[in-house]
Amino acid sequence: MDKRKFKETLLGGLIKNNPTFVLVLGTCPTIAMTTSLFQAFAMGVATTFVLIFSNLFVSLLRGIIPDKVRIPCYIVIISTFVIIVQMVMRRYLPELYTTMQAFIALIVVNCIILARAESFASCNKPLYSMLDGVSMGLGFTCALCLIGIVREFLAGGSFAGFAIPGFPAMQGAGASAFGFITFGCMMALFNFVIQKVNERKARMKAASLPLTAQLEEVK
Amino acid sequence: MATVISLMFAAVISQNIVLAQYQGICPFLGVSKKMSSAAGMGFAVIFVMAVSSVFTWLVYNLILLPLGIDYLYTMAFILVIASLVQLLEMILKRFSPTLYSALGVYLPLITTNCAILGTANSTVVFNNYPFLQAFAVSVATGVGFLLAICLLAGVRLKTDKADIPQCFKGFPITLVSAAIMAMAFAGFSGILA
Amino acid sequence: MDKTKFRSMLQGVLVLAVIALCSGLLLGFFNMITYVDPLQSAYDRFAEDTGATFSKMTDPDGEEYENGLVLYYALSDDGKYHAFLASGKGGYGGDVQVYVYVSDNKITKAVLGENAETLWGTFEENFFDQFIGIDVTQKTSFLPSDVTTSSTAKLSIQAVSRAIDAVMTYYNQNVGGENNG
Repeated sequence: MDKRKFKETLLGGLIKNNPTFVLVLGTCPTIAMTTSLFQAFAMGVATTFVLIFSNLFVSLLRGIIPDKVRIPCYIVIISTFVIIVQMVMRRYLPELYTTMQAFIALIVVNCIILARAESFASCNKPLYSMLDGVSMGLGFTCALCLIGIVREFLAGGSFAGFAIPGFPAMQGAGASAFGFITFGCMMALFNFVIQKVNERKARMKAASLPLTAQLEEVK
Repeated sequence: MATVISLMFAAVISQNIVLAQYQGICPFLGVSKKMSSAAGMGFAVIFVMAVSSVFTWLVYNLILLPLGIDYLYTMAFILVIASLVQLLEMILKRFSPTLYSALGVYLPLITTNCAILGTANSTVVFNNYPFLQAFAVSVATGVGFLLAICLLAGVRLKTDKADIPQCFKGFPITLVSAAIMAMAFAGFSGILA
Repeated sequence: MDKTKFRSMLQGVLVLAVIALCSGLLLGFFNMITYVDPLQSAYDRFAEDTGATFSKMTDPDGEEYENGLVLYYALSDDGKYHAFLASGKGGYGGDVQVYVYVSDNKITKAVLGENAETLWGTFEENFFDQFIGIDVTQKTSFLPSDVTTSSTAKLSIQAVSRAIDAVMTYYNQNVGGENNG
C-alpha cells in the first residue's frame, strides 16, 4: 500500500500527469526556453529545484498556514526559492543567466508550482510532497528536453551544441511561431502514442479475459 | 511622445506579449474556448495590468530602491499583484456585481498569469520607465493580450468543428493556429524603425 | 467586530509576516554570499574572454552617450587588447550589456552580457560572430541596419547595435588608432 503510493507519486508526473503534455501547465517556458537542448535542460532543472523545495516547505507548514492567507504564503515561499536560483545562477553561471534572466524571474508564476502546492503539497506528508516535486520536475524537464532537441535540430542542424554534418541550419526556425508549432506537433505525437498504447492494452485485456475466465472454470 | 507611441504600437502588435514574447500563454490557451470568456479574461488582464503597474512602480521606486533591497523585486511584485487581485475581487463583489459576475471566474487566475509579472518586471525594473510611460506601456500590453486572445477564440470556433486527426484535437491544433497567428504578427515588426 | 473573526485575521497576518521575515532573512544571507562587485566581475570576464591579464581598470567610470554607454574600459597588461563593457539602451527588457574586445583597431570578440531580453532564442547561435573583424576606426557609427540576422526582435537588435556604436565612439574619441601602432 505504502510502496504503491510511493511508486505512483514518483512515476505519476512522467506520463500519466505529465505537466506539459497532459496538464498543459507552465507553457510559457516550454515555448520560450526550448530553442536549444542545453537551455531547456537548465530551465527544467531550475524549475525542479523550486518545485521540490516549495513543495517541501508548503507541506511542512500546512498545519500552520491559515486557509485564508494560503495563496500569499505559498507565493512568498515559492518566490524565495526563485530568487535563490536567480542569485546562484547570476554568480556561478553568468553566461547562461544572460540569455535566461527574463524567464528565470517568471518561474514564480509558473502555474505548475502553485498548482502542485495547492493540490498536492497542502494535503500530503513532506516526503511525498518532495517526491511529487521530483516527479513533476522530471516530467517537465523531459518534455522540455524533447522539444529542445527537435527545435535545436531544426534551427541549427545540431544536437546539444554539436553540429550534425549534412543538416543545414534552417533560417528563421528560432522564431516564436516555430515554438508554438513544434510544441503543438509534439503534443499531438504524445497523444497519438498514448492513444495507441491504450488501445493495445484494451485489446490485450479483452483477449486475455476469456482465458482467465476459462482457467477459473477449469479450477 | 513619439517614443511612447512607438512603444505602445510595439506592445500591441509587433512585440505582442503572447505571440512574440511568449508570456501569458497558459490563459491564452486555457480561456480561449469561447469568445465571451476570452473577452472577459482580456479586459480583466488590462484592468489588473494598469492598476498593478501603478502600484509596482510606487513600491519599486519609493520602497525597494531607497532601502537597497531591489533584489527582492520579484517577491514584492507578486505579492502586490496577488493582493491587488484579491482586493479587486472584494471591491467588485461589493460595488459592481454585474462586472464581478462577468470577470469573476477569471480574476483569481490572473495571479499566476506571467504576462502581468513579466510586464511589471520589464517596464518598472529592467527599463525603469517614468511613471506615465510605464502606465501607458502596461495598458498597451494588456490591449495586445486582449487582441491575441480574442483572435484565437475566433479561430477556435472554427477548428473545434473541423474534421482533424483525433490526436490533434484540443490543445495541439490550438497551438498550431497560434503559430500561424504569430507569423502574421511578426510581419508587422518591419514597421518599427 | 466579532472576536473569533478578529483572531483568525490576526493569526493570518502574523503567519504571513513570520514567513515573509524568515524568507527575507534567508535571501539577505544569500545575497551576501553571492554578491560580486560589478567591477571585479568585469575584470574576471575580461581575463576569461581574452586570455590576457588585466591588472588595472583604465577607465572605471566610462562615458555616457545618447543611446548607449561604455561602463568600463581596460587595456590589457601586454597592451594588445582593449576590453570594453558597453551597454545599449532601448531593448525590450531595458539595457543590454555587451563585452567587446578590440585589438589592432579590429573587434576580435563580442560577448553578450547582462540583460533581460526575452527573445535570444530567435537569434542564430553565432549571432555575435558577425561583429568580429569590424574596423572600429573605419566606421564612425553602427546602426541596427548593419546587423544581419533573421530574427524579428527589433528592439534587441537595436540595443546590441547601440552598444557596439558606443564602443566605436569611445574608441575613436579616447583611445584612437595611433597609440596602437
